[in-house]
Amino acid sequence: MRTDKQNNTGRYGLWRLARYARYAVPSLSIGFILTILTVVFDLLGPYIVSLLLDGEIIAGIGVRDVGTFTTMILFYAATVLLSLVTRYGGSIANQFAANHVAMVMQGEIFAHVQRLPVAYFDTLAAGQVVSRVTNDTKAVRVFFTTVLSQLLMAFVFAIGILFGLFSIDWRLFAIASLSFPILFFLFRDFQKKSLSFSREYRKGISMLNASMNENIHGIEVIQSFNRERDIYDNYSRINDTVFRNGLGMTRLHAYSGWNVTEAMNYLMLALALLYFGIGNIRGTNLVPVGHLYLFIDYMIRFFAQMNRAMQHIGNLERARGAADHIFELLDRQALPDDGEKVESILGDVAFEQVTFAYKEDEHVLRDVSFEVPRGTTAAFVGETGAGKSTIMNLLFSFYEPESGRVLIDGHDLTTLNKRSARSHMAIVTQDPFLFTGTIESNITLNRPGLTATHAANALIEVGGDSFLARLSEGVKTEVKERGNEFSAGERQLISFARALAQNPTVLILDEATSHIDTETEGIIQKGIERLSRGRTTLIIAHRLSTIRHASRIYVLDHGKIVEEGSHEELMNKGGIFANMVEMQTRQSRR
Amino acid sequence: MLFKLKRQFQWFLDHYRREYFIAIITVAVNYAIAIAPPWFAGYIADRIFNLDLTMESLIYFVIMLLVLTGIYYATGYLWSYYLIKAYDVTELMARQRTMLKILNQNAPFFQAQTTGSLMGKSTNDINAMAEMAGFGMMTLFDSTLYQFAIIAVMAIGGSWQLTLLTVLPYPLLIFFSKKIGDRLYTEYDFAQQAFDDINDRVLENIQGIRVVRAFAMEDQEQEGFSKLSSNLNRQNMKVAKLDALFMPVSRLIQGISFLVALVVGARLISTHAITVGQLMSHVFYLGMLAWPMIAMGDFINISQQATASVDRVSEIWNWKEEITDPPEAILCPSIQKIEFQNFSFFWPGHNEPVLKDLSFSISSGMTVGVVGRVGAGKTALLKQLLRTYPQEGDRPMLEQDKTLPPPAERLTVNGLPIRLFDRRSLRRQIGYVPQESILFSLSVRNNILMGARTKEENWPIRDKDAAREIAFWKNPYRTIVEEVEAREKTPPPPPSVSDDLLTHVIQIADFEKDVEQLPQGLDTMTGEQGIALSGGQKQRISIARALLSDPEVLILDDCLSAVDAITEKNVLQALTRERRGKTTLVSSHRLSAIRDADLILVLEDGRIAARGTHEELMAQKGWYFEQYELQQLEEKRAGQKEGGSYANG
Repeated sequence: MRTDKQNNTGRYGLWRLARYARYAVPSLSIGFILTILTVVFDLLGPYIVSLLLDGEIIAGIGVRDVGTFTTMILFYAATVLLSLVTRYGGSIANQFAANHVAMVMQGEIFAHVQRLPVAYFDTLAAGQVVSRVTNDTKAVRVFFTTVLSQLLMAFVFAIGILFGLFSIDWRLFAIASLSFPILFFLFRDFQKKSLSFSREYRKGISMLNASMNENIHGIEVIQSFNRERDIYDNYSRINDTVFRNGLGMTRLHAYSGWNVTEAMNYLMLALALLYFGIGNIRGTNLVPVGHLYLFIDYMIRFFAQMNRAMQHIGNLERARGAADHIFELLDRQALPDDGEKVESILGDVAFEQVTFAYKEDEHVLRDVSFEVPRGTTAAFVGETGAGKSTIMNLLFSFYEPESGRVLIDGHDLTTLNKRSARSHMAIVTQDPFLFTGTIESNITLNRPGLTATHAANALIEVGGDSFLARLSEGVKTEVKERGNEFSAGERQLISFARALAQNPTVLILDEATSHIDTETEGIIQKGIERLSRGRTTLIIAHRLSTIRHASRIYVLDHGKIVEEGSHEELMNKGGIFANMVEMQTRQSRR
Repeated sequence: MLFKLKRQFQWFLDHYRREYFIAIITVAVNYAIAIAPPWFAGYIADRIFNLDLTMESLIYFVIMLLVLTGIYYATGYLWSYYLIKAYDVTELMARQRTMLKILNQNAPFFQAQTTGSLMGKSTNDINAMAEMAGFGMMTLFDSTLYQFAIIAVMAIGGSWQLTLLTVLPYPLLIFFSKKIGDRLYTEYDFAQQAFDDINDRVLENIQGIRVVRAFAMEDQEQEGFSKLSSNLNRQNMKVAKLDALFMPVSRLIQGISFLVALVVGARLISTHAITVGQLMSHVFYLGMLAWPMIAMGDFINISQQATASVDRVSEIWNWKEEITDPPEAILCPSIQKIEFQNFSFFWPGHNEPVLKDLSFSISSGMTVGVVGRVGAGKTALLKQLLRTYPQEGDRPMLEQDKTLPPPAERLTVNGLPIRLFDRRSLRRQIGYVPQESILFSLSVRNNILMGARTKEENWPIRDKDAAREIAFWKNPYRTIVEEVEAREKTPPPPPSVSDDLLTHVIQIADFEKDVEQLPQGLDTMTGEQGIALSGGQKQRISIARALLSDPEVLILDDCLSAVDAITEKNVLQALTRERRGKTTLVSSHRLSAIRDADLILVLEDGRIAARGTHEELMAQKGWYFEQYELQQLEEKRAGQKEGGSYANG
């Protein structure tokens, strides 16, 4: 089924791509008109020369009539100059259109990516998405510069030439038309092969990017385990595929393309010489020399255009491959950005019989119901894989429940505008992500109204004062790619400060203090207690000590809530929770 | 510029000399034939004009034309294949070389070269380089060899005066092309930079997608992106505007010489210096000169882009490794004693040391716990044995502080300075579990198997291997394809790890139950394109990976932070059993996890604030004592509310 769908996009991909022309109608129309004018001027030139050769210049006499000769020469000069202007203008207009369309597409892809379900990225390498936004749109740009201009030009040119030949002597046209079937066959062959080569090639490039990204990310592990050779071999294998397809393309271009069109050009010349020669010898058909010139000149131009068209068919296929990639992404169902906008929320959070599975039939949550009234703190505990983080994923609508409802202030989350709902929530995760920028920008997220002072205060409040003191430039300290220069604990502190600075109504802490030492955690803990006043707080924790102040604790096991109650109630019950607490206590006393 | 280019491509010329030679020979034959037809046409036109064409001579000419066409096609195939193949080979080799280099680099390199820029360089820039080796070389032939040949034939077959006059405007073309090309170089560099910026931005957005979503940052992300995108658009337009100048300029020059030819030609015909047919041939030749002229523009364009790109890629290739093995590195058969003496360490690019003046020693079989606040230097300390960050005595460190005393004895292994050892032999003795679990796009099994020790570990690739590789790419197309296909079909040899051993490490890492829950068990794909594993699962795969080789030294960097208490207990117990008699370095925030360590180091702001066994540290009543009590209290308080039944534990 999947392949069917892909074929479909392949077939319609180009049409759909061409429809993007609507974003650049004026520049494309100007480009089109200028292209046609260029062809006209380019073809008029040789015609004037043929007239000159055909009697205006005579052996032994030279110019027959100076006046006519001068006029013609001036005409010729005019065609040259005009074609310069139209050619330059046309090319700029087309480039403008192409770049504009590429920009529109980039924006569209990026915007779409922002709205795709998070689940989409679980199985797609980041490098591949990058390749779609940049490399593929680059190929699309080429589509609009070459396909819409060059291919069009070649087509207009060919028609113009054939029309010219026909109007001069239909037999010349007949000779030229002998080449059509061969050309047709060559085009077909070329198109088919270049399609498969270029598709594989592009796929390979995107895989190379993905592999490189992963290798850079994991370089320390690769080196620690002396695995460079394996990683290198894997990369080589992908690179080999790219090479093989590239080489196939090279061979195709060598036996087809310009080589074959030029050879055909000479065959045409031989035919024309025969035709003119025999006519001349027999005296049956005295063709003027100018016609011979014109025929040869036009044939050279004709085949040059055919050759060009063939070259750009390669680009066309590349663009088609890129378009497939892009449209495959754009066709992924994006989350609707509709629903009721939420100006403010009170913070009542509830799950109603929620069932959820990441993969079919592997339920991570089964019939989970709970209520966290506004301003209270709930904690979720359980073994790894019990489904704790899934609750967070659903609350943030990263995924949608299979059945059941997630409610905020009694409203089903699916009926609310997700972004506006999220803007009242904040999360601190186990693997905090930092953006390139400064510590300040990572805390304030460049929200208007949040200043460096806010950022610094937030950091101090979550216990980062000694961290802040270590930084040479304070909160203005630069954060480079992924914040690798900071320790995991420091990144978590920044992430904590970020959540605090956003002043959320609902605060979610997903193993937020796992990389933080007890002392700092103690400070954060006080921060959390202060912070959670008046806020709904959901905490996921392994360290049971961190959830003491929770008003309600839920124990999850294999996707089900097996115990719930206050700390005291659960301890008295002597069930799973009490057991877990004992285990931790005993372990630390051991 | 040509010399610079030649120097930059010398490495490739050395490999591809033979193919280029074939290409030059065939291209010469090919062009010689290409020049003939206009002469034929002119000759026959004159015969027609003078009415002295005979059937025999016509047939003779036509047959000759056909034969020449055949040779033309064959030579055309050969040169085109060998010349453009240079593109593919350059692309391949440059990319391999880049990856080879990247795999050898350490943190300072990755701080200077972002992932997006490395990706850009290994695709865009390498393509621009390859374009030079293939199409660029063709334009070089065409704008020199071919051009001179045409001019020569024009002069010999017609009138040299006419030829001279008509080619006079052409040097102008070279002048203008050069002017445009110089500006193009700069603008092109900016455009590539803009491209890289977009790469980085998108990459970061995708990797941080959850944060972007959670904090509803989509709008500002889009705003930031559209700024970069329109910047790229602007840069591309600048390049396009310059690029579009080449064609009209060459047309203009060509038009001028056509006009000269017609006016002067008419005069020459009047004096019988040339025939009408010769003028016709001449005009054809002028037409043929158009391509070499355009090719010259293309060549300037391509070579400018290539020079810019080679410069950018050379940043990678010529990067001097911060950490290198000494010429006669000592192989490390086993790690007996590790000693830190007044050891300090800077994170690359930082001015403040993260580790200050540490002194302690670890003898074989010890378990060492490292504790301390966030940013105290725990991770930094644990990474030292791996030699993945420059230490005192490595290049950037020396640049940072020229007054550093000789680093000979700062960190020693078996009594010898660590930098004297072959790094790979050291790492062979070490199992490392990083704080942030890193999995690759492989099955769970293969991720764990990454920890196996195999014989195929030689790195970097020796010269001999590289030479063999190069010889291979010189083979004809078919042989290469066959070999590449064969290579692809044979999977890399699996490391010789028995299933028992694999099961054993999975048991220690307490990952057995998880394996059962995975959709395809051990063969489930992970990493970027695989299923999403929880942080705890990733951590335990990391642990299993490090345990697979049963290393002499095991480094556990806060690697159980994401697992629950029961699992943690299971793993810790199994590890204690497993690691008896072997060296283990552990950092953890949960002090209970390192309670039994032979030596516990309490780090504070990069210094050792306290050291000793658990009992000793407790007796000191310092930070450790406070924290331990605090944690105990917390755990107990969590336990107390249960009403006493667990109170005496």
